Amino acid sequence: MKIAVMSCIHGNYEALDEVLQDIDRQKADKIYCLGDLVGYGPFPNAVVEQIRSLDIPTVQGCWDEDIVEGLNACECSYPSLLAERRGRLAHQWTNQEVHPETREYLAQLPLTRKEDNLCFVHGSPHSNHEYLLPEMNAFAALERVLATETDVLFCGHTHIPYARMLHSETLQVKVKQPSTEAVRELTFSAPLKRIINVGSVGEPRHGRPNATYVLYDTDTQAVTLREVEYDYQKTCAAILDKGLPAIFAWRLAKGLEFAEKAEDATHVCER
Amino acid sequence: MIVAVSGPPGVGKTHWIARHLRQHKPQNPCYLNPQTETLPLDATWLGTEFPTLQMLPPGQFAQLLALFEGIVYLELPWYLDLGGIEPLLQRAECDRIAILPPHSPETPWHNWADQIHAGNPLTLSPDFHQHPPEVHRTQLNGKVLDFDSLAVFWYELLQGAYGEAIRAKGILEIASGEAVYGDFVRGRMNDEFPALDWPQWLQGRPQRLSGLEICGDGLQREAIIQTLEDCCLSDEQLHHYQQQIRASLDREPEVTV
Repeated sequence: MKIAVMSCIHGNYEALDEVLQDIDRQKADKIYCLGDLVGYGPFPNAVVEQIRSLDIPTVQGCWDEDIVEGLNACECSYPSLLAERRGRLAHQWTNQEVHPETREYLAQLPLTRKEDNLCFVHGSPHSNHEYLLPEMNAFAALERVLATETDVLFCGHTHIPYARMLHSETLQVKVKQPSTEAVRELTFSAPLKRIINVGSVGEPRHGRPNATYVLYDTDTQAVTLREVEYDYQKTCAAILDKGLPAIFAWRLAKGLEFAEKAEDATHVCER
Repeated sequence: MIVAVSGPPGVGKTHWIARHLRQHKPQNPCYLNPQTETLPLDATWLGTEFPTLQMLPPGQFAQLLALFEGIVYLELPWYLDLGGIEPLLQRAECDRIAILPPHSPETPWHNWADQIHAGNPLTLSPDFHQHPPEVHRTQLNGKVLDFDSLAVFWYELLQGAYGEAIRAKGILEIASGEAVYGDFVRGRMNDEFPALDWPQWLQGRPQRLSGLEICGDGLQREAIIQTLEDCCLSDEQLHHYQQQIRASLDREPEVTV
């Protein structure tokens, strides 16, 4: 079966529309979405409506969560004061713009989805704010996949796509209880595992404005990264038209994020 | 003696003066940069590099000129009317120096200058003198910027997010208590901010000059001001930072050499 996995649409309806057309042309059997349907972009309601009407299995992203529960992201999610202020502006605007049914839809999204040996999350299985970066320590990366009890972990959140193979590994853990001298040894053998980051549909960060998503063949395990051109100028015009900060349009056109995010979940707060 | 230096923005006038000072080590040098009194960035930078350089108060320049025996470096910004200042230059012995990009086409500076020196390789727009670039100055005295935010703003500025910037320079206070110098000329990407040799300001808002000057076309002044404002620390944030830095400095062991 050929599946298409996309993430981080961020209210960019033009990008979503073009990606859905591309998925159609690629004849994918099923589509999954890894969240962040809203935030920064000008069409949060239209994006949610489209995902909902197509009944695309979706998990909740950090922006979706913040719109439902209020902005509770640690300030360290942002690498600078400027990014944080821009993030807050975008949150405020989106919060006012979303319809009650949009908020209801976002509220009922699960944090994780599993289908056979595949797992779908936004950030990581532990938190939709955590960044699984390609250079993450192999032990930690493997732990994230093992935590899902599946073989392939699909994630987004970083906005830069990659596929990472975690070859057969053996983990040995020794546990010593304070109350006893006995040491308990546990050994885990992990077969081949994979982390596949699908990039971003609506807020790319790879230096071009094009949307990205991933096709995965469950029979051959082949991963295909798709980069899709779309009329980003339309989204830029809508950003200005809707009264969002003009710098969001400029950054989108340059293939930068609307506002830069922390590179690393372990980013040390300097404030 | 007057050494009058002029040329387009970003060509390296102040750096030429600095080089001249280093090479010739004149006695009692003085410096004046007319029409930049509200934000004397070049004067402040030169004063930091050459602590013995005297800064002439602009209003008294003509009177002081007659009494003065050393070299007066007169940096003439490109928007200053050279004809208007000529009577003053004729009162004393004067070298007129134009700093121009290499292979520059004919400009009014060619007729004015006694000597022409090659500066930074800028591309001057053919209608530079008919349609000179705009100048935007923001005084930032007392403001302290988050350095990571400054780096983002600077990148966006240099890449054209706020209009077509051809030159930007600034002295900016950052959260570490240091003042840094930003210096950009189109065609020469410079995203480094060397710290000025000033004491760290770790108690309250800095009481010294800081600000930013941008030359270019179609500059979006309101967006520039707003973005700079968004880069600045609140009183609470500044207090928090300064407290932490002071505490860490107190903890540092003394080293005896």
